[in-house]
Amino acid sequence: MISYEKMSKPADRLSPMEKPFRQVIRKWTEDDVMPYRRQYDEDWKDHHLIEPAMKKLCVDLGIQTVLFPEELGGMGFGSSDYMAGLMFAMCEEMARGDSALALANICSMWALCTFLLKPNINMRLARELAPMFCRTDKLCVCCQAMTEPQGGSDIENIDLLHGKTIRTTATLDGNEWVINGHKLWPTNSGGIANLFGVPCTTNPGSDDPDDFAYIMVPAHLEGVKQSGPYQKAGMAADKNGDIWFDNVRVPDFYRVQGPGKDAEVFKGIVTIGLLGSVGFGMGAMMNVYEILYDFVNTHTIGNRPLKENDAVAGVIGQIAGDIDICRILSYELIRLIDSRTKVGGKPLHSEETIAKARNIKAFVSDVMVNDIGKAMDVLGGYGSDRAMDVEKHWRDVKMIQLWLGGKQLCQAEATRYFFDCETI
Amino acid sequence: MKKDINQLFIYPKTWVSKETGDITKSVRQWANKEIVSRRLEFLDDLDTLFPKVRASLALDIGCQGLMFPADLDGLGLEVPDAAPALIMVLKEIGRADAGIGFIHAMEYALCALLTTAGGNAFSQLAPLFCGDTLNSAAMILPACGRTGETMPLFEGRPVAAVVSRNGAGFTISGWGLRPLDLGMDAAVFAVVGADSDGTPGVAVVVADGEGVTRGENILKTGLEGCSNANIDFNSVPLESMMWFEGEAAVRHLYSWTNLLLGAVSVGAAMGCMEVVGEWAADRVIKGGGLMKDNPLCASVLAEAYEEVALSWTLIHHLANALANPGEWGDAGDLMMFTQAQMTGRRVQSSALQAINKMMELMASEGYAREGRMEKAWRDVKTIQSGLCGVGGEALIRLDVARYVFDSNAV
Repeated sequence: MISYEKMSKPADRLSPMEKPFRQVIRKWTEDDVMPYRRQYDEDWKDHHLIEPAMKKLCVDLGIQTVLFPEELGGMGFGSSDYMAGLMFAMCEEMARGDSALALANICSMWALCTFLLKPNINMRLARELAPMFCRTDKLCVCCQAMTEPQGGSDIENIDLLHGKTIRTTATLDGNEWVINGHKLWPTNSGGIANLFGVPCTTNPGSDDPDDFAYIMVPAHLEGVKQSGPYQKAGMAADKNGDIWFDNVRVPDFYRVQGPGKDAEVFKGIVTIGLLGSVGFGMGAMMNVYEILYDFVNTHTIGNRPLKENDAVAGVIGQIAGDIDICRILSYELIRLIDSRTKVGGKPLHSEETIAKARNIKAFVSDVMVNDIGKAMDVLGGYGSDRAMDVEKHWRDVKMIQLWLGGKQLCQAEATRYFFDCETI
Repeated sequence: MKKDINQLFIYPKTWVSKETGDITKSVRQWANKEIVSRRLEFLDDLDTLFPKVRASLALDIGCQGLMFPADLDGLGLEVPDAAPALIMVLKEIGRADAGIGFIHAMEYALCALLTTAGGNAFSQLAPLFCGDTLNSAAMILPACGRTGETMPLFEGRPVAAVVSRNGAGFTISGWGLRPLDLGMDAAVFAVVGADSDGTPGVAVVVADGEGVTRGENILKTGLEGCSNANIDFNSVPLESMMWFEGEAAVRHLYSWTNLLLGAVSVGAAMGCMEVVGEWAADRVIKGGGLMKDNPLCASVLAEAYEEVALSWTLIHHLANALANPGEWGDAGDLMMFTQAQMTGRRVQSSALQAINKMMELMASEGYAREGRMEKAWRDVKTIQSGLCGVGGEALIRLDVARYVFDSNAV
């Protein structure tokens, strides 16, 4: 089978660690995910197959430590100039096997980005929470508990709504925050999370950024309740459910940055979420390319290999070309993020960075949904066969297109930036 | 949605008889009572409810055996005249569940082929479809070859089943044949095969005899309730009347299949419209307004409707053309085959596109089983990619180019 190394990447801008890092993840994907992934749909509720694969990656290979500073037992990616490139490489390599498993692993780090990424590293909180992730033999899963039942993607739309629709509240009582609210659908809910990152408000209905709070909440605390997972069209390795916070008390320093700054880092990690989305989509497309390459070489139409039929060649050539263009865009997004603290760079929460990240995510999402659908068609009646693995990617990537406010929010944020809109 | 979904899609009512209206009404009542009004219950317990719900449609209402002659205990709908009636029925079934729609579409496409052979062919199969047990038909269309093999072709598509003369009758052989679906369930197979000269035709194979082997259950994207398997035929005897010789028979099968599955997928998309209509009328976005009142979301809703409405128009147009072979030709003629392939491709693509857009508006809810939409999305994709055949839409475009521009491209 062909390697997807043919696809573009900027060799002069890669971290020296990227290649060996990719090799480690790739081996895990090929040994621990690909042989079992066809059974993941039936494992959606119990994760008998999925959890051991996560544990091997996160604990045995140490991936759950990557963002933490080295002095706390982590790998120090949070302060690396190549953080986005390495995170993207991880997403792509994992999603080549299973984008939901990639999502579950990456989302476990997502909420941690609010206090572990330079220039916003909160060492006190890092020290407090590091033992859950580093120098331990236990899997620790983190969940960004963002969406609320009434508002859908309103929370992500922070530049327009400034958090005024958030109903989950945080009230300071002495040196503790008291959290109350209901969150819905986040990755790594459905009963598996050990730690939540919770966007909430200290003043319901307010659109003052100072009233937006982002607070870390351990799942074992009294008052935290999780539902079981929802059944979905795909993405079985990602559990989604409800979370209720009923007078949950956490130390005051579990608020990740403080008034004003929380809103900024939250906007910034939406950008990180967009990078992850692009990485998952790229990984899925890379694997579809590999499968398609094999199929069109070994199957015939008109007694010639499929790839030698000009009309089919036009379709598969377009698919490969689209993947390559998306790869180029992905590295542009990586450049935007990894230059955030350099001269000429923009912070993650800047309107420009968010708008451009939204554009790239929307573009790559549309391409992957469309092209993986076309790849299924090239396989004809075999396209919907789970044994071919293409249909799995087709089901999974649709979710990537839908989340984080979907296409419409991507359009709105891009328009707001490029046309200086005030109400969009 | 405040409006009745049935009043939102214009079609020429003069093409649809009163009898068709009556049976369509019965099927709609079945759809609303058995599935639409309790879709979550249906989805949560599909293994149990699918056969029960299917039986009430197929046996109680009589949609199984619909096209068998009345003297054989069928309902006597005759093709080609009944084409507009069939699409109305299948649209209603598809709106409830595309899997059940698929099962009936396969049976009706087989019946359309049987019509070309006269009453004896129906007599042979009537005990299967006009009795009191559920049965289904599967279709095996040309698929693909393996590098190094040389195979007979139908319009460039490799034909893997071989039909040989055996005294007064025929035998059929073929290994690892992949039906569109229902390979595990079907009582009868309509199989595109080729004779010793390499001329394609369609064999109708009753699956209860020796020499028919079904492979393992194939896990797939959609059409839950239908079980598929690869099929081996090892010198299975065919009655002479069950070998429909010549490319026209294959084209006939494709033409009707495109029409009937098109109606199923459009129906499924209409069902999704009802779901997204409820969602958009209730969902508050941007901190205040209803989704349906937001101009961007309203535009997406309108785009989805356009795809569905235009597809429905195309399906009616094709049904009318097939119902009137004196005007443009028979379903087996190249002209009608071309139109049917083109229409089928466009309709399947549009139905899927519409559902994609509606899912986008519902976001995660559209992706969750409880959102009542994702099954239709998976079902329509399964139908669409299967109907394309190996090579995808590119081969259908070549069908069109060959007829319209005298292209020799295959």
